[in-house]
Amino acid sequence: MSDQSVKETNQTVPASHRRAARGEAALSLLLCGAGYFLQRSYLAGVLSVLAEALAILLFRVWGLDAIRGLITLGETEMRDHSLIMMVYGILAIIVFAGFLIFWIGTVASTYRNGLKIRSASYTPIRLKERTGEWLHEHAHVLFLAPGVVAIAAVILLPLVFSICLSFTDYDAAHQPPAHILNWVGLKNYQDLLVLGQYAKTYFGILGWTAVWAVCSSVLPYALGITIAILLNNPRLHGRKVFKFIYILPWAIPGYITLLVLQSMFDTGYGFINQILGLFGVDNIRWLTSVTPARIALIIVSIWTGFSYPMMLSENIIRNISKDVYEAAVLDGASSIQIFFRITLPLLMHSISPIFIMSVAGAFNNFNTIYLITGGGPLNLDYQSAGSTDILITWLFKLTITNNKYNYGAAISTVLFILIATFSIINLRKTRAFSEEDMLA
Amino acid sequence: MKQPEVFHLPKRKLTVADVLSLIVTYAFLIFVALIVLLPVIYIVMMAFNAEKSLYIDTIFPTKFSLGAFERLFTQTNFLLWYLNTMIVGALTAAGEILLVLPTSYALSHMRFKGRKQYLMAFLVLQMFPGTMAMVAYYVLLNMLGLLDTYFGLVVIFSCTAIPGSTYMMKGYLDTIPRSVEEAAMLDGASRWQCVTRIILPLAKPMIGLLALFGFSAPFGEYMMSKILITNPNRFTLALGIYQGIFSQATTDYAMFAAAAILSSLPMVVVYMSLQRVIMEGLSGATK
Repeated sequence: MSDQSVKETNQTVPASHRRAARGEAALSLLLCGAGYFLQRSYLAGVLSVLAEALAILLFRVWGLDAIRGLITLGETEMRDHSLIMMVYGILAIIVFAGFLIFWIGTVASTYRNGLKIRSASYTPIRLKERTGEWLHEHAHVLFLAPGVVAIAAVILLPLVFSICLSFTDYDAAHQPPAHILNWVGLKNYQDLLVLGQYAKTYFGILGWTAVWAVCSSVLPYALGITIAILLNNPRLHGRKVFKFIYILPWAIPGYITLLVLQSMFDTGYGFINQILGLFGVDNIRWLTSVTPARIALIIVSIWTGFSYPMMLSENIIRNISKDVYEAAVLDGASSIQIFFRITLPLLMHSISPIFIMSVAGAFNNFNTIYLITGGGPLNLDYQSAGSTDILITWLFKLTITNNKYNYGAAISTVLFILIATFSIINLRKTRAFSEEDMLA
Repeated sequence: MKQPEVFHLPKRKLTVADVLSLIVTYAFLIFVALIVLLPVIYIVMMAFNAEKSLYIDTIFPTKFSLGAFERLFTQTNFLLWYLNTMIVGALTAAGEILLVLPTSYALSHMRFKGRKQYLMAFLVLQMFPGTMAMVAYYVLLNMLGLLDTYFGLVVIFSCTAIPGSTYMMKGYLDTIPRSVEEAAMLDGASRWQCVTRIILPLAKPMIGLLALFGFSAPFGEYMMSKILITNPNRFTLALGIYQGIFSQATTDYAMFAAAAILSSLPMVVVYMSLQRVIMEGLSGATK
């Protein structure tokens, strides 16, 4: 709204007005909000200058040391705690970046205000009204503030912190406060991605992670969608009973299911081997040999994961407009044509963004792997990892068991980049980005 | 909301092919249903079995016993874990709603510069799982003295859920036309009145849904709780069941089964009975 009005006035305002407004904006750039005084917006001016004074004071008292601490990570062992210094340093950067954005905003708004008060249609209004108008224009800031601050503190700060850790030598041999951490540049990434035992482990695990992410998302969706379509058969009886049963895996808390299934896959006494024994199948070492363990994991992911896509598809199929079908029948389409030309495309169109997010989620499916196989069986070619470990369980082991915090952080950074790239590229192709109502 | 009836093609006479496909359909659906029920039956059998071990000699236990439930309440702090989980769940739900509502309202019903960038950032941050930042969370909570507290868990559960939940809530609020609010504002209603009188009542179903998801978060979460909570008196159900029962040297499987049933039963009942509402809410949010 305000942008438009500025553009409109831009065409009509004389150059002198623009020059004057630019001058005031420049003054605001020198001293945050100083331009407001020339425009007789004293309250805005005083508040902006106060904000700058506060920021400078904070910077002198705390920010400068915090940022210096982030650079040096401390000098004296036992006195300087590198991790805490890192946290304060990042916090300082976030806070002052926030102030910088405010400052830039002030400069822009000084310029806009300068044009506004000079335009012919402008009539001076009283402070109270002006404040009311300002509040109305900036109401979104108030609404967004709690969420944004929470995200900055609980998601952004830890994210940046993890990324920072991946450039340090924080491991079992360097634990603050007894030791000072050092920045080591790209060394951790080099160890993981280029040379040595860890690189071998990394790429081995990456391969299985990709297989796992694809299988444990495609198969449950395939089963869920199939069941939803089968349930849509008008001649079928007992639809409600079937649905009731199929929703159970979704309603039971995840880790309970996983622990129960883990005990069912037990080699000696497990329920599954007992049942297979009835059919004359010898005991399968489900969780202790590589291929059966991987198969078991994928079975588990199907068991736990098919309910949700089934319910979604069922709902989507139900909500497809009747008119479309009626028109198709009038045009003489067969039921097979109707299925492949109408039902399936519409279903895929609606479900694809959620499916992509579930692939991304499969990369991070820590619980299934950790609670079913724990990553095992141990792989002797790997560095502290097993054959069913995926990246996220491996980084957990490296961090918690081996105290290789730096490697753990580097892996999580790579993983985050992988997932985010994958999701954004794929989501761009779906309706999430093309249609107005999702990102409108 | 009334569900639209499923559209079906006009019924023809039953052909042989129809009957065959119906048989295959039934066979497949029943097979899947059996597989789904297998662990459920297994866990119920185990809980009422007098044996403690994993092995079940007959499909239906010959020695029926409530001993497992008795042991669960006398030998472990099951009720305490339950209480802890409910406290964390309730606080998480409250915190999440307080943070998500204003954010999603602004993103859905206000137009301002940078709105698309916010949505984009939320989408990316949604993919960032807590597991990746466990060291960061440990260090931060340690600095603030919040390790081993409910508050630490609540802050992490509710805040990491903001981006995803905001997306859901925004999708839902998008279905409320902005013209309703604009009309009210023309009649002199303030922004605040619009929110409390129009938006909040209409968003009630979705608020309930978010509350349910927030409440159930600690019921299903294991890893973050494991890292942040070490005091057995602060254990949530997941921690208690895993560390106190399941991973003991000689696991009392019957007791584990009893704990599994008792801790999932309320969730199962709630999710099952609200199933339709939940699906409506979610499909509204993903439209």
